[in-house]
Amino acid sequence: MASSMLEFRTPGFNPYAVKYSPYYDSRIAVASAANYGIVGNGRLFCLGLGPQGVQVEKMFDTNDAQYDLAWSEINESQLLVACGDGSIKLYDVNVNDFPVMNFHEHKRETFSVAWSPITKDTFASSSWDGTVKIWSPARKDSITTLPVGNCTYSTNYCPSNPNIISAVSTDSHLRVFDLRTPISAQYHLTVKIPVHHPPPVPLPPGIAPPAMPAEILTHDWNKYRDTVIATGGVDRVIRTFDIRNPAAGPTSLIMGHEYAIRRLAWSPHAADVLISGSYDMTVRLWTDGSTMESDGSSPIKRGVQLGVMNRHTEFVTGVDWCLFGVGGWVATVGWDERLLLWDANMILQGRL
Amino acid sequence: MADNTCGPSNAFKGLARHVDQDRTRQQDRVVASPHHVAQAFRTAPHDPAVANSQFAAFQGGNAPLPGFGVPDMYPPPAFMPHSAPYPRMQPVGPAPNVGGDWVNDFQRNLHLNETASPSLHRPSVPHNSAMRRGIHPSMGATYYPTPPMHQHMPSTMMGPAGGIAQQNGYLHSMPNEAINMQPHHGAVDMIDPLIQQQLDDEFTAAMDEWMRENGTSETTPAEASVGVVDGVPTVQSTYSEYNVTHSATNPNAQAALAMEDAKLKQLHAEHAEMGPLGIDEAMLAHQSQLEQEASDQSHPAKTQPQVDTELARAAQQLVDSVSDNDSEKFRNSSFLQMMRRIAAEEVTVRGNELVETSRAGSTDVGSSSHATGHDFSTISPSPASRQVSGSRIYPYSLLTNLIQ
Repeated sequence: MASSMLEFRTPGFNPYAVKYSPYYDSRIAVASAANYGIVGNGRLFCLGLGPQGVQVEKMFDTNDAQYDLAWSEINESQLLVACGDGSIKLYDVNVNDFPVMNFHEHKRETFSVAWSPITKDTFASSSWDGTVKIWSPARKDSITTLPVGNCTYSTNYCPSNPNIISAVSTDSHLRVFDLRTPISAQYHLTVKIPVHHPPPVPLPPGIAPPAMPAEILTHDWNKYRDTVIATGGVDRVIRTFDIRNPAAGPTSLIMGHEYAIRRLAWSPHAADVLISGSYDMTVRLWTDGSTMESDGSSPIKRGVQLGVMNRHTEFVTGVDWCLFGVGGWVATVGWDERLLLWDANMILQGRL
Repeated sequence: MADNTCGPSNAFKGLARHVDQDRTRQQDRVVASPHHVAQAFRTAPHDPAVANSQFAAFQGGNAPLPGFGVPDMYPPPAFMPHSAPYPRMQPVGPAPNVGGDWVNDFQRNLHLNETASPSLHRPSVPHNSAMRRGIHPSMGATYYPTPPMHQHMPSTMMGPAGGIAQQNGYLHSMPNEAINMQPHHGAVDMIDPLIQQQLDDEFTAAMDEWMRENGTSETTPAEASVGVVDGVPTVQSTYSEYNVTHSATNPNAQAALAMEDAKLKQLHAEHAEMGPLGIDEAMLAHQSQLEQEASDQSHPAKTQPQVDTELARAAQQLVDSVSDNDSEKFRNSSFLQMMRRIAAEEVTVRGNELVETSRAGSTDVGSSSHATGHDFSTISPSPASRQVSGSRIYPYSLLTNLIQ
C-alpha cells in the first residue's frame, strides 16, 4: 500500500513540526532545522498537494533552527515559525524570502507556537527561557508574559475559550492559565497539575506508569471534550487529564511507546482518538478508552493502541491531522528528512 | 442569596453578606481613611512625588501588605512578584477598611474549609476545587462581586465566576460582563500593552533587584544546578541532576541515585505543599539559571576545547542511553551515527557548522544543509546566539533527557 502514502523529502533539513493549513486541504507546512537542530539554519517548507504529489510552493530560510510552526487562523497565506534564536517569524506565502513580521522577546529557543482558534487575533509561544508569551500578529511586542519557570516545551489554546492557555514544561507539570483572572493571581495561573503524580485512586490492573518527574514535551486539548488535555513526554506515557478536577489524577493512561513521546494530536473527527510520534521512531494511533466500558476496577481508563506506523527511520517529531475530507488523513515528519501523508483508517483496517 | 440568609448561622455567612453589600457609597471615606495614610499611594496617587516616597518607604520598611495573612509562607516583599503589582491592585473596598483582619479570617477559613464548605463561592461556579487549588487563596478578594472595589485594576475579570469553570459558555463569559459592569475598564481589558508593560517592568525590576542581592553569581554552573537558590529548593534543578546521575555509566551512581531519589521525593513533597506559590521560586530559580548561562556566554572563559568536550560528553550520554537498543532502525540511524562521531570527537561544532576535526580530516560534513546565497543578517538583525557555538550545546543535553 505504499502508493497510498505520499512522501516528500526535505534534503539537508531535519523536520521538527508539520501542520495542515486550517483553510486548504491541499496546503501543508513543515518546519525544519539543519543538523538536527544542533547547529545551522532552518527552513520552512510550504507545500501543496496536487495531482503531481507534494510540491514545494515556497521555502523560507532562517538563520537558526526552526522548532515549531502554526498557520494563521485569520489569513490563509500566513504562518508562524518558532526559531532557535528565540524569535518568532510570520511569513506570507505570497511574499518571498523575508518574514512580514518578526517577534523577538524570548531570550532562549522558542519551542512552540499556537494560534488562537477562537478569537484568532492572538497567538501564544513558549520558550526555554521559562515563559509563555501572548502576542498580537499586528504588534511587535508581546501582550502578556506568563511565567512558567522552566523550559516550556509546548503551549496551546483551549479550543473553546480564548482566555485559557495551557503549557507543559520540563518540571513535569501541566499548567493552565486563565487570562480573565487578575494578574496578581499567580500571573493568571489557575491550574497546575503534577503530571507524574500517582493517582489517588487504584490503577487499572496491569499497568504501572512511572511516578518520577519527567519532562513533558507535548500536549493537546481534546477537540470535543474541552476540559480534557493529553500530555506526553520523557516517561513514555500519554496521560489525559480533566482540568476540572486536577487533583483526581489522570483520566486515561496510554502506554506503549518505547521512548519519549515528542508530539501528540487529538483527532478532529473522533473524541477518543489521538495520534502520537515518538523517539522510538514510530507513530501510534490510540483510543484513550473513554468510550469503552469500564470493568469497575478503576476510574482511570486504559488507552488502547489502534495501530502503529513504522515507516519513519529516525525520530518522529511532528504529527498532525487533516481537518478536511473523509477524516483520518495525517501528516507525520521525522528526522529522516521525510514528510509522510497517509490515511490513519488504513491502520485500522490493517492495511499499513 | 437565599442560601446566605437561611439556615444555621456561621462565620461564612456573615462574611458573605459583608462581601455582598454595596459599598460604593463608602468608598470615598475608605480612600481617605487616616489609618492608611502610609499606603495612600495604593489608592490616591494625587502627587506622584509623594506617592513615590510613600511607596519607597513601604518597600524599605517591609510593611506587610494588608490582606497577606500568612506572612511566614511568603518571602520578603522585595523579591515577591506579588509585591510590585499588588499595591495597585489593592481592593479599595472592605479590605483596608477593616484592617485586613477579616481578610485573614477569610483566607484561614478558605484553608480550613477547603473541602467542608463550598458555600462561600457562588453556586453558579460548578468546579470549586479546580479553582481553589489553582488560585492562590489571597486572591479570594478578587471574587467579590462588587465591581467598584478595584480602582486601578488593569486586569480582566472582577466577576463572581473565575477560573476554568466558565469555558463551556465563553460567549456569556466574563469579558463581556466585565465590560458591561465596568465600562471604564472595558478598554483596558487584558490587552492594554501599556499597563501590561508597566506591570512586567515592575516585575522585572523587582526580580532583578532581588537577583542582585541574592543571586548566585559566584557559583559555577555545576554548583548552580544543585537545586537550592537561596534556601529555596527547586524540583527542576534537582531533577536534571537526577538525570545526569541516572545516565551516568559509573556503577557508584546506583547509590547516589537512591539518595537522589529520596531527596527528590522530599523536595517534591515540599514543592507540592507550597502549591501554586511554587511558581515564584521556580521562576526565580530559572531566572538565575538563565542569568548564569548568560554570564557564562558573555565571559569568553569557555575555550573551544572545553566546548568540544562538553559536546562529546553529551553525545556520549545519548549514545549510551540507547546502547541497549539493537533494533535495525536504531543501528542504522544516521542521527545516532552522528552522535557517535561527535562522542568520538571526530565531528564538532565550529561557528554555524558541524565540521570534521583533525582526527577525521577537516572537510565540512554538513555543507549540504546550509543555505547559501542569502544574507541572513538581513533576515534577523541580532543573531547573537548563532555566533557562539557554546549556546547551541543545550540541545545535546536535551536529547540525553529525552531518551532515558
